[in-house]
Amino acid sequence: MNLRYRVAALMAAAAASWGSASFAQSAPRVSPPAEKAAGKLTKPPHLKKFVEPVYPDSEKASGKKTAVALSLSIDADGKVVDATVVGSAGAAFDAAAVDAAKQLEFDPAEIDGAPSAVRIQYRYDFELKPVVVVPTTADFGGVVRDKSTGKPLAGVTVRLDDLTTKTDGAGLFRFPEAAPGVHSVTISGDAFTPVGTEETLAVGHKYDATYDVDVPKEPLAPEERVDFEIVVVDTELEKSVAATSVSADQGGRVAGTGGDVIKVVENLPGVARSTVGSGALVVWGAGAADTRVYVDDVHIPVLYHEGGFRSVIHSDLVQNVELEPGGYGAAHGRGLGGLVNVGMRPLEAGPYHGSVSVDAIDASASVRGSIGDKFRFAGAVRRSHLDWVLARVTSQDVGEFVPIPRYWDSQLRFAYVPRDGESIEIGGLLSSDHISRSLVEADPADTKTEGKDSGFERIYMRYQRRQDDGGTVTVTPYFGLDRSKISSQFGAVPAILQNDSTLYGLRAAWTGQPVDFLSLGAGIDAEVVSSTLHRQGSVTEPPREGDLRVFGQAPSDNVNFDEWKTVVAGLAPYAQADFSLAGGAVHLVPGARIEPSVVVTSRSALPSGDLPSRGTSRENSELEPRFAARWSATKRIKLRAAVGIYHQPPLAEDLSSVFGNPTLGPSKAVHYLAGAAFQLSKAVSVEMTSFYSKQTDLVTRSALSVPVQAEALIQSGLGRAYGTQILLRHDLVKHFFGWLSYSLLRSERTDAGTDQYRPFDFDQTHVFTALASYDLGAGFEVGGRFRYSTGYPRTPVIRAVLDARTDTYEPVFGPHNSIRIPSFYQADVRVSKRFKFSEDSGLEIYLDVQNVTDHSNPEEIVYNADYTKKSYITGLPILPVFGGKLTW
Amino acid sequence: MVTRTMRAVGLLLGSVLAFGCKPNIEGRPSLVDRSRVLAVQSVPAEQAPGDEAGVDYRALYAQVDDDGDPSKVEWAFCAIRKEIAVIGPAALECLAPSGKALAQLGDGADVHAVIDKDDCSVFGPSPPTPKEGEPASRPADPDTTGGYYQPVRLLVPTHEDPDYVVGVTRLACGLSGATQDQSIEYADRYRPNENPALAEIEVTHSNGKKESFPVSNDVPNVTVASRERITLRVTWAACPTTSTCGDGICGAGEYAMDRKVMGDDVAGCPDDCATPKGCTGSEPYVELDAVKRAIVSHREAMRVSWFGTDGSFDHDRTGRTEEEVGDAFSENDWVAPGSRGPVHMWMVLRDDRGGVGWTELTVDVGS
Repeated sequence: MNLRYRVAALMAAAAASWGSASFAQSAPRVSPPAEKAAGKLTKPPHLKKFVEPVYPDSEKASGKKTAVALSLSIDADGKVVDATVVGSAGAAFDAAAVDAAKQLEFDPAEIDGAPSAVRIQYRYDFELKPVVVVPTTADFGGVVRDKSTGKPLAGVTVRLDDLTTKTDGAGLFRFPEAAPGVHSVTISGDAFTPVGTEETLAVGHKYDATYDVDVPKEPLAPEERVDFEIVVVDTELEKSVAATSVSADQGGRVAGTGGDVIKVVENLPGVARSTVGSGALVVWGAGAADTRVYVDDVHIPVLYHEGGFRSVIHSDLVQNVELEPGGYGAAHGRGLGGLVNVGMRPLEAGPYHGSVSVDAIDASASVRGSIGDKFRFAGAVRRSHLDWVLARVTSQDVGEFVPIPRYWDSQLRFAYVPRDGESIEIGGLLSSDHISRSLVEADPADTKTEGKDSGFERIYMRYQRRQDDGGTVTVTPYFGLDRSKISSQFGAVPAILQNDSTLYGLRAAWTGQPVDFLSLGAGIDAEVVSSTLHRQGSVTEPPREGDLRVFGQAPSDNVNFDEWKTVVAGLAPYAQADFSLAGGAVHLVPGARIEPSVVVTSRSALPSGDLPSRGTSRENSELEPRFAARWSATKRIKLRAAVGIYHQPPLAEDLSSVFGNPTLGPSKAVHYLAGAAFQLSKAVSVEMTSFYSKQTDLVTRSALSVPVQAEALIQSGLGRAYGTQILLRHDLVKHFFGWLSYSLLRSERTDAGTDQYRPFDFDQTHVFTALASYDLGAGFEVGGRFRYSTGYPRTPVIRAVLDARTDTYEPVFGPHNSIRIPSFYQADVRVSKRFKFSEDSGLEIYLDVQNVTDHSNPEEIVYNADYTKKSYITGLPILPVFGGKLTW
Repeated sequence: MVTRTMRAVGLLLGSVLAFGCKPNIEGRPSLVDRSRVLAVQSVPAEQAPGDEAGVDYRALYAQVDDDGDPSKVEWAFCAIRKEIAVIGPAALECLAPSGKALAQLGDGADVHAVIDKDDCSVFGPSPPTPKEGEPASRPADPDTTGGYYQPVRLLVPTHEDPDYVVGVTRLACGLSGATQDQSIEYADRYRPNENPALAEIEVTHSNGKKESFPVSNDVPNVTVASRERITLRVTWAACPTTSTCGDGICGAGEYAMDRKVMGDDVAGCPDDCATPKGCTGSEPYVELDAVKRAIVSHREAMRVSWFGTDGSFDHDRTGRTEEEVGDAFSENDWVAPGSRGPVHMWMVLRDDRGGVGWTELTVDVGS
């Protein structure tokens, strides 16, 4: 045997995967070329460049696993100069092996220490293996259908950010290599106006979305072509365990709302029916002040104008309104009750559009458009004119005697969109209310005047950016002024409470999906409220929850006065994770929020002579863990649960040393809830949620007849609320939508000095709402609403005592909140007709008839002068409101 | 053109916004259809706690049936302050026949009592000094005239549950939260309240005929036709609207001169600031204005409560505000019943510092 070609060493076998083939290099045997004299192999050739053979296409069908043995001649430079098949696997495999082998490069072998040519045995193994892909994209596809018929829509343009495709004859579309992250999806076609939504796509996931688009039988005016219901399967993101969201399109068509989208909140499960004319939002048995209201990320003090007839945001600017009655995530806090999020409509590039609407109560106008693609704007203004109307149709100045709400509001928004996925918006929200009345009596002590002036202004900037990795960044600083002045005069007894606040807020949030199964969110929620307050009059006016009094009762004539300033500041970092497990069927959402806060009050003790006032401050730092879990047990059944701790800082009004307590700290609530959602059919779903809320450190009146100085209020109250709510909902399909909501709940409080629970002043055991709307075609639409609710609790008057100093009887009460106002039920009807003037303009007229049966609903209990007889103040009689809206 | 329909719609909206419909409920306080107490008078109307002279209390008891018996009225001082959020004249514990909160005074249509010397700390501006380590107590809030009151509870038996009535004596206490100078000024200028008194009753018949009756111990009598509408006017003393030297009222300028804090060009009247003198009409008084943080002058508002055993008054109560101090009278219309017979009337005059006075009138309703 020629020593130069004897096997000198074993080379490590190399194996790799490539394409659909795999191979193995055999342990080569080395021998010198025959023509050279034999020498000693001092260094075997080392593979320097490996070339993979191609599994022949012609053989893929067979999937054969085989090998080709080769004899390679390697020159002194390490090049393969010849490759000869010595063990064939067939022509195709042999050729592939030879082609690859000729491209191999070696460190040359050495014989006797010098580079030399050698011949080696080499083997390629061929094996067809499954495709192994390292995914970098998502496969996003689906179908677009006509909502009313369920038939697929062909030729519809589907745009995923900058990518565009059209649906095929089966209505199908697909983006096989969509980038992960949050995307804007728009769907457009000749028969309808483009609609849009956002989708979050994860790497390696395949999405099968269904978009049901409401295609009108006849083209609609632009204002009517928005907010079609979109149902997305598989990619649905649930932000909250118990949130109920209503699109602007549906909300504005609900009877009894007067076309006001946000008014629909009153019809959602978990919301108590407010007394007519109050507009108070009582959610899951929490006080009205315990529910926070946001317009996107901007906190506003109220949702409705005084009287509750209108919301403070024009409906044309609203995309949806969402109510989270409890158990919400770590991104929000400072409220013991629910959360209302008003989502503003995204500003889009396009031609100018606008609207003008008017009814008996107010008039409004809106406009939106863009300058080029990058500068976009929208604005709206509304003003009430009921006082003007009444002044012309009545023979007396009724405004002097009845509380006619006078209000206006305006919203302005400007956005700069430098690129897709990034925007800077500057906006303003303004609202103002005035309401007053006077009741002049022959007895000056019975003459009453009441008035309230309130309003708020907000200026905000919002920066939003969608990152390339799918994450989002949102930063919203805002500045605002809140003002409220309640003034009344009962005879000689004044009651003034004025609060002027300056508010600085910042909300910054980041969301991202670092790995396939995990979404993260983190941010900062900061708010500083500086208030200057003035209060004069009785401690009993304005009344607090739990006060024993009857409707219309004059306040105590023991009076006092205070002026004070407060600063309530909080800076809350928060973080939240969403673990997607079991293929997305299970979501575990832990979160936490740290709420450090400081409350500074300018006066810690009662005013006394020339003594200068001395301030006080209190710092708190609260940890608020939150946790939610969702499980899609089946395609149609989802189970969910949540628990969370919430704190709420004291109200500036309560920090008076004279009327309240300047050392109050935050109140606390713990929410527990669990529920299930069942998708009964494509359009019909039912959701059920049970909840329990425990509240501690609530602010209550001192029960002492001689309280400690500066402790007219103390923080010893307890509260609890529990119940179940059910929502049976039919989405907008085939021109019909509606829902049935029912809440069974109990809300209770304790007063100072006792651990005994009594019903909350705004407790309603049963709240039932049924509403529906149907598009009759030819522009006609009809809707109805029926509401039933248990009456609010009231405390019975068991006898009366004559106050001989004032010659008035004062009530003596029985057990606290042990009787109720009779139940309320009312039916409302709405009929509308749309007239189309052109492709882009039209007119809608509507008749919204509240209490169509003219049912006399008791709203409050009233008594005669000596409380020996009682009766009820009744609410709205039949009230038709006619209005119209012109759009272009 | 404003049509009737438009007006109806407007009124409908107006009524809706006036919070639906407020019912009229039977039971007007001016109709005395059972025996009951109509007023309680403290003589004097205002007194310093602990004054050994004491206070005479008397009730205006309208006895219109056999159940009424003024001798069975039970009197008691309420000894505790009401809770801060309670609207009413006295602590709930005092609206009972007996209890720790009550200091019994006796039975009858009138009683005599001495007000406890510590009342200014219980009901007034001077809470007791806290013990070491204990927080200070909150002084009581004054009424709109700056007053504090000792409540006196009347238990009035009826054939069913007893009536409870609370009268008061205004307490001559100091001020809460005032400077030393303000306290001194207040002490010098403040004059205790005097019960008001009605001076004359004038009746104007539907035919324009007028009858006047000076108030005396005799109950005047008038005759009216059934269903006749008459106008009743009561008058009271016209107290001076501006302070002049010698009127016994310590005006601001007079006080200032008395304290020698103003220039010599201001005519002083120290005597007016040294001798208390009241008035049975709308008296001037001073109080500490909590908003202005200063001693300010006021006049009493006056109210008249009208009561009758039959017929119907237009108003249960009428009155004059502080700004109407020049009008020392008040009027009310009364419609006689359709049935014949006597109707007894009571007119009760109250000032807003807790003072009370009354008179009576008998009306014979003819055919």
